[in-house]
Amino acid sequence: MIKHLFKITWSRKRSNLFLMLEISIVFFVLTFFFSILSNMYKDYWKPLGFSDGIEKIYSISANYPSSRRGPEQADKNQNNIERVKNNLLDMPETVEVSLSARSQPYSTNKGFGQKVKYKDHQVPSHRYWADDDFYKLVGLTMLEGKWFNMENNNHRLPPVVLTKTLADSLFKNKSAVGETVSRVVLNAKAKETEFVVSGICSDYRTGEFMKSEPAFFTRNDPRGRKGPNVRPDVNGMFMWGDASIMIKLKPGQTTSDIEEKLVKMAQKSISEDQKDKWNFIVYSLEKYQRKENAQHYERTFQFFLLMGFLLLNIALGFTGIIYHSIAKRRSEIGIRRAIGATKSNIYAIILGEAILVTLFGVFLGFIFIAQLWYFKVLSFGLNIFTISVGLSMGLIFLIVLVATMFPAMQAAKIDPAIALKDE
Amino acid sequence: MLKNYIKMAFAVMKRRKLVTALNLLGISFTLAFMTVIYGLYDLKYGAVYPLKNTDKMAFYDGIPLKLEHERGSFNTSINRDYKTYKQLQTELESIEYSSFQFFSNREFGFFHEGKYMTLSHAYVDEGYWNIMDFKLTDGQLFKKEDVGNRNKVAVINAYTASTLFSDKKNAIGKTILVQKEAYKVIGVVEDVGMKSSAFADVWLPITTIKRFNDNYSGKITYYLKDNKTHGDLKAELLRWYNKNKDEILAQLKFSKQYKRVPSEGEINLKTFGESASGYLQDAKQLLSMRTNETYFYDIPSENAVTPEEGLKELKRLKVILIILAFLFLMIPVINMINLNSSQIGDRASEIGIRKAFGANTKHLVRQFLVENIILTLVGGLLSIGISLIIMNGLKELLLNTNPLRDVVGAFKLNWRILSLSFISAIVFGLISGVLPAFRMSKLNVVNAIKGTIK
Repeated sequence: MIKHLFKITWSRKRSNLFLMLEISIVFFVLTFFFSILSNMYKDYWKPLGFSDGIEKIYSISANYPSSRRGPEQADKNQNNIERVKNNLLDMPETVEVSLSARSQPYSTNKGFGQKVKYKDHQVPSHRYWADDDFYKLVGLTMLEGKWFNMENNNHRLPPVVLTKTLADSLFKNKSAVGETVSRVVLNAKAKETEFVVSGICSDYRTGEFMKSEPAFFTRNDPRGRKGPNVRPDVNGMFMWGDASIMIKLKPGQTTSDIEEKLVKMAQKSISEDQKDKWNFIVYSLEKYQRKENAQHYERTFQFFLLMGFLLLNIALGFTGIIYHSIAKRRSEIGIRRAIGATKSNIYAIILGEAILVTLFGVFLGFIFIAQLWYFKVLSFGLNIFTISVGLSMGLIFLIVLVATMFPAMQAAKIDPAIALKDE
Repeated sequence: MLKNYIKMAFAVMKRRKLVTALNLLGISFTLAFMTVIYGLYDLKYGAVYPLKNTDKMAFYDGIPLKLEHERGSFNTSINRDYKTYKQLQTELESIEYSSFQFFSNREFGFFHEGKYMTLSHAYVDEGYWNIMDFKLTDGQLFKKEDVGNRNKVAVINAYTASTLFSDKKNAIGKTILVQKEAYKVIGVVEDVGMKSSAFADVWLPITTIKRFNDNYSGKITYYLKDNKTHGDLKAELLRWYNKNKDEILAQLKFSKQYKRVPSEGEINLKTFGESASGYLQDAKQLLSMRTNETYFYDIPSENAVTPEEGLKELKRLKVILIILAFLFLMIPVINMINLNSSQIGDRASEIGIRKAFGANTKHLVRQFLVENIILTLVGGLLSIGISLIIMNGLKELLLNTNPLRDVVGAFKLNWRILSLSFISAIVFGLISGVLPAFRMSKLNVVNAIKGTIK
């Protein structure tokens, strides 16, 4: 049977060669796109701590005079932002307020890349600045130890909370809580900042399209306010003049005028002399989510547009060619039916030829794409490569089967008597 | 003769309905797909309103400087400040216009009739209006004196005018609050598409940025004179840099930890395609084949790319893109060749009779090509309809860069897109028709008439 199929396929090598070439190009391109896509959507379906009550979280981003103008300005800024926080917290609608600039979900900055060191082991990770209320607001769960709080004011070393991925790669099987880690700094002469691990939390991703990568949280330490040099990041305020305030509302408080209420409250809290220098923008986290994810969805759509185009062409090509070959083989099929071939035998012959051509095409395309992967042009790891090869192979076979099924049905319907009479 | 060919073509199309339908479906979707892709490309990178001539634009990204440290090195670029810009403006001879801009990625927000709204704004100088070709619907654009005197004036687009001021005609003279500063509206221009690199809702004089001074770094764009090229401008900038090198390096304010390694003979001058918003940079991101690399704030990456290497990488990417596009278009062409070749047997007796009555190869090839081109042209017509449906149906997904507001600058059919459809229909018809046509015309007359050709 197999030998017979090879023979038939070979007998119409010209049109089959074209089909095979098509399949190999499409397989190559599809695998390429699928590996980019599966890398994009790798962690998409993993739960995000904050996604449950996302409609209840609002974010105000503030814009104010740069703290680089001197300690006096920095001090004014700190006073103002603290007043904003307290006033927002006092509102009847709110539950929690957190001042954690550049760490909030869907913010354009995905943490700063910094390396963490434990003994001789260094791990590149993301650094997020957070205050004492941050983890509750974004729904992080503490796996071990606890999040930093006011008690840490009495400790000598500042606290740090590691995410599970970072803790696993730094400490392997040991318990991390209470150990001292340090942040690797560029300047060899400067002293490395040391931290005490206060707890280990679940992985923090700032959006659906972020990967679970090693990360750690450092505390916006209120003690930084003392002394002549006010540290700029005390309240999640950066010296460049931007901060964000996250607010969690009580259930049922998301009325249409809540945005205006929040901004008015924030504006009211600023001291008179600074009032015209502060700007606030308010958005619900849901809106940030929509805005941030839109570009990823658009990209996905573009890939699917390209892939759909290729698959449509394959389908058309197969339908056309197989229709034609059946028209030419009417008498052959008639004879086969006359000497006892069943309908399913006819299906097997026609589908078998299409599958054989597809197999050869996929194999040819695989040789090329495997080289791209082997030489690290596509540097995605074996898992993603296997998934994308599987996906594109499955999709191509599905399309080929559907496109061949229709002509094959016509072939199976051929009446041997009529076909032979025509001959 | 041509009239007969056309009649024949339609007769053949009618006779073999299935093949015609498959062919038409294939060709119209291929062309529609090309039109959508090209339409998007055109909206984003084409010389669409308000861009004038993208070939004449040059983007100056300063002079590369390497900062070396015992544990690694940084690449940065210097000389993009307003002071240098002003100085160069008078000294450069190969430029017609120049412009200094700051496009803020932060929007400004306000409450309008109880609804929270944000708009995007750009700070530009008077040269920007010369580099671009804005269509004024009302009022005027700001001038050199406005920029020099830091006048708080604003040019807004039609979308802003119609959303903020109920009566669009009366926008001139009204005030608009941007970051709590009141600006007087002096002009209204037509909407710039959201995909365009020049997209903004409100344009303000660069000097009205808070705390603007001569050391402010921005985006510098040059517009070349008619007879000058990018090479001329690059050479001129290099000459200027070599003359003032010591002075420039002496003025740098970097920590003493770093050793300065000034580049030799390199200037970051990019064409429109290579610029930050150019298609090559976007394609690089779209096809990013590597896993996301983290940007390390204070640890230099071991494989940091220098600007020159970056440009080389972009050129390599261009080749990859051309190969990919070629592979894509191969598929429908192969399909059509295959479908057309398979029809040879069906029309063998017709060909044989025509040959027997004296038609030569040239006649037959011409006839089959005309038939094929007519088919692809019909497909081309269908494709325009399909692409319009796709573009308008998926407007939100395809064109809206900020899903929190309305789309501005929709997809319109223009002569570039139409001519692309038309030309590619003919090219497809020719390429996919030539091979089958030759094979048809080479048929043996006797066998053809006898009907022994399969």
